Amino acid sequence: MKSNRRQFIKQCMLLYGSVLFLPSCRPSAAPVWYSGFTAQEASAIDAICEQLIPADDYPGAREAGVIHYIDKLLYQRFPQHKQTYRQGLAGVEACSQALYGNSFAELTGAQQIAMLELMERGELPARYWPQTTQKAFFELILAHTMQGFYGSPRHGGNKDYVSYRMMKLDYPLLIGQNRYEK
Amino acid sequence: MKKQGLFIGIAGVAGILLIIILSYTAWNRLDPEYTCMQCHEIRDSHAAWKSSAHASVACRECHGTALSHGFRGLKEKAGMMHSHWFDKKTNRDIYLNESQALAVAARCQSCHQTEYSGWRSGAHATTYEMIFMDEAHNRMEKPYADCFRCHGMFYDGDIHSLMNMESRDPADWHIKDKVQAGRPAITCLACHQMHGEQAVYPAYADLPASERDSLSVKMHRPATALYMRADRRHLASKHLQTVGMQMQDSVITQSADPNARLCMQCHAPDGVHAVASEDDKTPTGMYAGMSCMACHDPHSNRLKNEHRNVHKTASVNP
Repeated sequence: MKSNRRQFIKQCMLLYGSVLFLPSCRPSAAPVWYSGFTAQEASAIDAICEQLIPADDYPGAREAGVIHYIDKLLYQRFPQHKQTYRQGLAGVEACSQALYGNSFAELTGAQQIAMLELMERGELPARYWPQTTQKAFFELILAHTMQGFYGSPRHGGNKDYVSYRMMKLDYPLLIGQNRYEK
Repeated sequence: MKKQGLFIGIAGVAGILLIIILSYTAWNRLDPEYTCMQCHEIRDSHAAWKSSAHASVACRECHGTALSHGFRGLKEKAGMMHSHWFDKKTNRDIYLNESQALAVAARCQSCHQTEYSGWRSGAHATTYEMIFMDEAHNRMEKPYADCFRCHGMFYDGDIHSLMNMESRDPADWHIKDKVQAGRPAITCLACHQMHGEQAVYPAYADLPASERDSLSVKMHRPATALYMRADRRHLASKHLQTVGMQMQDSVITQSADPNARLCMQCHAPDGVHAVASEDDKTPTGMYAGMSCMACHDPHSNRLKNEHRNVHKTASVNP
């Protein structure tokens, strides 16, 4: 296709003018990145973890970033648990919609606790967990929540050593100069 | 015909070069939300940077560009790209090695000249050689891994990669790498977190040095943080716990200043936290409850006024 000078200038103007629209590509807020979860799944995990270790005088599992521990764990070390999480979370969402007509993360605290208590005892309708049991999923996420909250921050959770501070752990340990060869 | 082909070839190469130069310039000038933050590994650091006192300092000012450090910079950036695509890295796996920590520290001095000169002239500017080749100290205590907790916290290796201690006589021990021996062992990032949360003071970098000093006096003390080598991360001083200090049967009142808790991490008491034990400098007696910063300049460690008897009171004034 031949183009004359006038067309060429028009095309250039169009090209350079489009640069003005670049700011619209800017993300409205920095999205949190999870390797293995969708935003909805992440909200549900966050809500479950927060109910398992709620905030009181000290931050709870949400502020301690337990979800980052779980995400890192499934991404780097135990990808075999990803499927269990997918299936378990699908069950939680389906059950939450059936019982309360809302997503689990959107339920009130009391509703979330009621549902988790039933789930712990395995008393929610089993049809929502066709491939994994609700008890198995509950135990898995409980174990991971505890690990993420009480473990070292190097593994992704326990932000700013919040659980160490809560337990008054002497960390970092002050032992002066350890003259073991004296 | 040949001439025309050559002309088109040259024009093509020139066009590609022009596009590369323009893209590179744009990449380095754009808001990091369009550039650096496109990699998920950077998002936590970006969020922290936005809430830090350095939010007005562009990424490239401290981290450089792909070409600003020559081949080393290119290799570093290529390594980052490789990690991004082929390693299972998350935001929380990113940390600086010693060369990078020193490069950042070198950038600090361009704005914080007063603080840098204070540090340079004081005891905290000690080198690996001064710390690890102290023969008298080595005879008393053989250097081991925990030394790096306070001296050389960014060192990339372990004590055996740093020192040759094969001989029985400490006089024969030496630091293997001469360049390493001359490196500073306690740099800016040992006590400061570049992306640490803090209120922003406008245009600090644009002020002349004299005005910066007066602003430093007026503004609150900057937020400090302890770099914990074992965990390869900083912990803000405000999150450090107050350690219960004892002198015989008495509990000593401690300063509420988080910076004092930071100092204590290295100027540390023994395991039972007895006053004046090991390297402890807890103020006692009439000075009990005072912050280290009340008497010492944190960078040079010099005394601000006459406070020379503060720590001696431990044995005479319970």
